[in-house]
Amino acid sequence: VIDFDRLLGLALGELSGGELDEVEQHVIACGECAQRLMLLMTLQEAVVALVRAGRIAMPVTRELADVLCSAGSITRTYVLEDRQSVACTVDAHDVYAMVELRANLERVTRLDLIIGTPAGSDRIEDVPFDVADGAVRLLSPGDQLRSLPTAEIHLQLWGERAGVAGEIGAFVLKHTAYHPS
Amino acid sequence: MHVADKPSQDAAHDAWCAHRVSLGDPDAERELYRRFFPRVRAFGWRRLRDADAAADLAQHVLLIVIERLKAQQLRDTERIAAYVLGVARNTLLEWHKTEIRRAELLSVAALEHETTGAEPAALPLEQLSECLHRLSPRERLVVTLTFFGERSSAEIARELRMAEGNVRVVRHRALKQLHGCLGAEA
Repeated sequence: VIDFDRLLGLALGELSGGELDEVEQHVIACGECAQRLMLLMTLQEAVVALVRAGRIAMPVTRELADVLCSAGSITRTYVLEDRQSVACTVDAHDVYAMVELRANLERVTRLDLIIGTPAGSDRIEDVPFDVADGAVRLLSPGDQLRSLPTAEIHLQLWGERAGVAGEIGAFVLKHTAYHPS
Repeated sequence: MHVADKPSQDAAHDAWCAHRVSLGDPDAERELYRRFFPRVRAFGWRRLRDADAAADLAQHVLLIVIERLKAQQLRDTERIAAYVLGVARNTLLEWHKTEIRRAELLSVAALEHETTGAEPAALPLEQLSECLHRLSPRERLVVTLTFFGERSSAEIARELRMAEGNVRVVRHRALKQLHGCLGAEA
């Protein structure tokens, strides 16, 4: 059975030349590998469908946010500077809402995002961030936001700057619950 | 034998089937078709990015292979897998060159499209969504960048400021976890 990474490389179109030839030959000769390749292709289609349907919550990179914006999937964006609070809501048509948290990220080597709601707090470790534009981006599915009650949501960036751990930024979202008309 | 047979068993049984087809055994034709259909479809799906078109390709290729075997055009039946791959690649080239509609090519089909017990069932999205959210956010992002963003491991490494080897490890672990969560073997 062929190495999983090579099979994934084939599924993703990453292989070329002799390696592509070799792995394709193997797939045609190996029923189990063909089945695993089919699973990967099916998984790829399903993940794409879920992302497009606005079902994935996660911090995202600027590049992925740009792709989703261009596709019309990010229908609402809130940009918050450090110590800022913003009123926010959601409507029936929102696919994703994105929160862009801006802070001084110079010399920051690692960032965690702590999300505090009346229901409790959640810590997302090691979130991606962009030092150049000083931003962390969090994507939330519209369905998830439509189920939230009116509440204050506290967001805190906690990280390491020059080897010292501490707060990097704090933000507040004043969320008004969705009421279908 | 089924598609999960080990490669060595696959090869020996493939060769035996091909040999029997060349002798005019109709049961062997069906068996050869059943065995190769999922493999050619997987090959075609990867190239065509279209499950239906890949199934058309597999059907078309296997009809050609079976006809050629019956006409004794392949002497060394132990090379059947390489032969099938060659026909599949040539067929794709032919499709691209001539832009002949696949439906027209398939109108001469002598065999009905058979299911093989390994049809690519659509994944249940609700379950997949739950499984994705059991991953860590970083694993989820790597999977999303891989499949939705169609990023290579090198590109993801640059975007997330990770070592490329680490991206591969995270991706492998995440996909294994997803397969397990979905009830499939990684």
